Amino acid sequence: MYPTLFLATLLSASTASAASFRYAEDQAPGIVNPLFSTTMSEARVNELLFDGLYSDNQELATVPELVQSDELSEDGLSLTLRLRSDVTWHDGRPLKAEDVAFTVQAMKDPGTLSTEAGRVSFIERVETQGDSLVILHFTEPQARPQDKLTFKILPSHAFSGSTVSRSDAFRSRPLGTGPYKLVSYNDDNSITFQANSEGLGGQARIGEVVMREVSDKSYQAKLLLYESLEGLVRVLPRDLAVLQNNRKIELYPYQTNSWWYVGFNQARAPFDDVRVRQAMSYLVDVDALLAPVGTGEVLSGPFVRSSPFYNHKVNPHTYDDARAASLLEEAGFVREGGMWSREGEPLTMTLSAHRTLESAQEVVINLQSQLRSGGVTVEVEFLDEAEWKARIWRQQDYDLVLSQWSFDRNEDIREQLHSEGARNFGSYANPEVDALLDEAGSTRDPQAKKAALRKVHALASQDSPMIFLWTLDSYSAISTRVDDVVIHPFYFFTWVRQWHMGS
Amino acid sequence: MLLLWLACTPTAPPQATSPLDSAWVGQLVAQPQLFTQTVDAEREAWVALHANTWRGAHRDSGEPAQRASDLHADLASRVARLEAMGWERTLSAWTPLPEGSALPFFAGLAALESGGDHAKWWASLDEGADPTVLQATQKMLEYPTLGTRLPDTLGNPLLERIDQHLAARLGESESWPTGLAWSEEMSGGETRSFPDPQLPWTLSIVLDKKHKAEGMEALLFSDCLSPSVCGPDAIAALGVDPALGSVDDPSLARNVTQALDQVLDTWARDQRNTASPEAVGLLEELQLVPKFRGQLLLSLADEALNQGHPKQAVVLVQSALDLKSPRTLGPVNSPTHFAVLAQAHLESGHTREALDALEVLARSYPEAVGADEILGDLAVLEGLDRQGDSKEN
Repeated sequence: MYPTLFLATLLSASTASAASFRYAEDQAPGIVNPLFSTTMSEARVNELLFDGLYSDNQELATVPELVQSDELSEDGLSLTLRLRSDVTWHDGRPLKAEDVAFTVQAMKDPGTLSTEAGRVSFIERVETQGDSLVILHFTEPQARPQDKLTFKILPSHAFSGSTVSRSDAFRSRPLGTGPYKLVSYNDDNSITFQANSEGLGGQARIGEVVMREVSDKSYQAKLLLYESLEGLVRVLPRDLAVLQNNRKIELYPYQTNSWWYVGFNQARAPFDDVRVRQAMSYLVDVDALLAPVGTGEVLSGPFVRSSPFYNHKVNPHTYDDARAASLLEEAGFVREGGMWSREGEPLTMTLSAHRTLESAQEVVINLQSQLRSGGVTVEVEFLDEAEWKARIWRQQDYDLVLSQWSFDRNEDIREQLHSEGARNFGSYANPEVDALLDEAGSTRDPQAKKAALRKVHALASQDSPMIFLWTLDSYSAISTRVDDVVIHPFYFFTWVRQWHMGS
Repeated sequence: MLLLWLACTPTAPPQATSPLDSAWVGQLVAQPQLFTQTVDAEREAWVALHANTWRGAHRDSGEPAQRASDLHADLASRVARLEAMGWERTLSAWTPLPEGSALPFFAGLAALESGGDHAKWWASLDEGADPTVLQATQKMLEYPTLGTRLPDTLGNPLLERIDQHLAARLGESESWPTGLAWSEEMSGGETRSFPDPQLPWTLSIVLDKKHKAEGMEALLFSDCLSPSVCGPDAIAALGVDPALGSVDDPSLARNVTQALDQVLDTWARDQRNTASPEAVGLLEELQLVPKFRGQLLLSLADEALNQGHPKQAVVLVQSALDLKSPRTLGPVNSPTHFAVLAQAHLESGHTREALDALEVLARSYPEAVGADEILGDLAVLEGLDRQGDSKEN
């Protein structure tokens, strides 16, 4: 598949020192700025470069990171934070209270269009006193606001105001307080990070981290086996057995509660018609699509099967061309010459997917073939990261997308399915779902929350804003040369400071 | 796969050089016909034991079925303890509890089963609770023991159900309650269902045959080198120090795993080079070495949990799983692996990850649904004040 010369070139490009941890991502971060992070690869890089006010310890309890001490007001409406005095930015300037205020204001600023704005919506305003005191005022009483203050803090001195643009130069010269500094973007699409000698708790034990973009999963595995990488963030199920049998490689569960889906742009006809969306879902044989990717579990809604919110009473849609035909006829389509059309217009659509996701390419091509057999013409386009962000997220200029969502342990789908959700680029809107999501977000009764979200699951299955595909068992593979590895179940690098290169 | 082996022809044994050679796995390599002799009489039950399919085994009386039933009883006991832990933690974290709810009644019952503080929960029951629940609670406070039948069930369905469990445990009834949802109540327009916290406890008692087999029938597929050298002792006998240290350091668990793998890999490689094709086929097609390895690591994970080292236990069980299909029960991935994994995750603070393991278990063993639900509640409670994060890819 790969010419020997190409392999040799990539292998020889691994010029990292013995104290270097080189890991592969399917796609390089499109942007290094936590205000605009939308992908897991960006979230992982953020973890290397930035710190939050609070973070998770290894028991997943919230613990202070940039905060020295805190005090919650009796009414729960404000939290006073004293920042640590020993933290400096990667340029040597000290962390100040104004940095925290800036970060919150930038996230909230409508002009910023931050994808993370929802994470600070509970903060009404920020007050600072001197360089180290921050008072956060909340919109409503908070029981444990610390749990929500894990977003990354940015340096105010690197920006000119709270309205931050995606194209701000910060994206290529990010400045954080995290355990690593970004040293260089390299010609081979890799990024080199160097340990921050002034990082919290001292310098990280691995001197250098190199992120390499390798879109071909099989090739990633080869590079790891050839010791040209020390880590793969996510291994496809089909490669697990081979890597498990290699004693120089350790596999670590990295269950990010992820699921794949085909999403419809419901702001665009004919996908604004639920019958068309449902028909498409009945034309897809999900098991057959999954086969090239490996073992996984087919889903019927927006949660993985082990989620407390998964509604096990809802069955996944299965291939049923008769039902699809009936739905399309109800929607005014007729089938002529094997293809569906309405008022003389053939039912055609474009399916967009990431160019870098090699495994997605197989799925897309098979999906195209399945829909064509069902009488639907599907054009396929593979977008690079910049095009994806622009076309899908900002302009919503697409028909169908194939993608994957990953969730932290809270599995909060509000951003994806609420009509006001920042990640709802498919324009799904169902007032009943909105109400249930609001209820799930406000109740203190865990069983009521489960019940509400299980109803959302059922409604989402019925409304079909997406064809819910599958979840894959997710493992990371890391060389046994790297010791004391503990990976965060979502952010991966949270505890990277303790990792070190052994023998 | 196992059945294919029943037609194997015997070959000459290779020379013994490792403790594994004299263990069941080594004996089978040396004398594949021994396998046929052992499993021939009760093929289906042996197939089930090999595949770790234990449900229904209690109905049969043969050796493999009785061993499977014992394993099922052990599994039920683990699930029961996990569920009791779930009730305790969930209700402790759930403040305030919904007014008039029967939740404390069930938490108390789970605590009574596990030797916990049942009175604390029963005392906290709201006076506005359903009269049936209040009556049952009052009665149980008077007779807080599960060693004998209840003196009087007062026509109360909750007490009757408890008494049915007790009758089954005491051998006075051949059936036991199997319904998962024991009781329901309305709460905020929704039905709140309560899984039966006693179900896995009852199973752990009635399925336990306390069976003692001998010879190959007792050892085949087990974690033993010999009847008295099992689990961590077997690891030590193989020349690998199973000590996990005084702190919960996952890297020590990885070191033990790697050392064990070295021993087992070397032995398996030697067999591939020296043993008969039939013996090698037996080893590989029945996954005997990975199965044995998985059992050893599981026993060490248990030891880690006993020492209060849940992170090590997570590493050990994860290492033991067959990742060809990591969320499927099979010859290597036994139900006990997932029960231990769930406990280890829970004890290391990773409640959500515990659900990943429990969901696999609950698919095939309905008695785990209660633990899955109550720990699901705990996972939700732990995230109530958090801001969820999601990303693409």
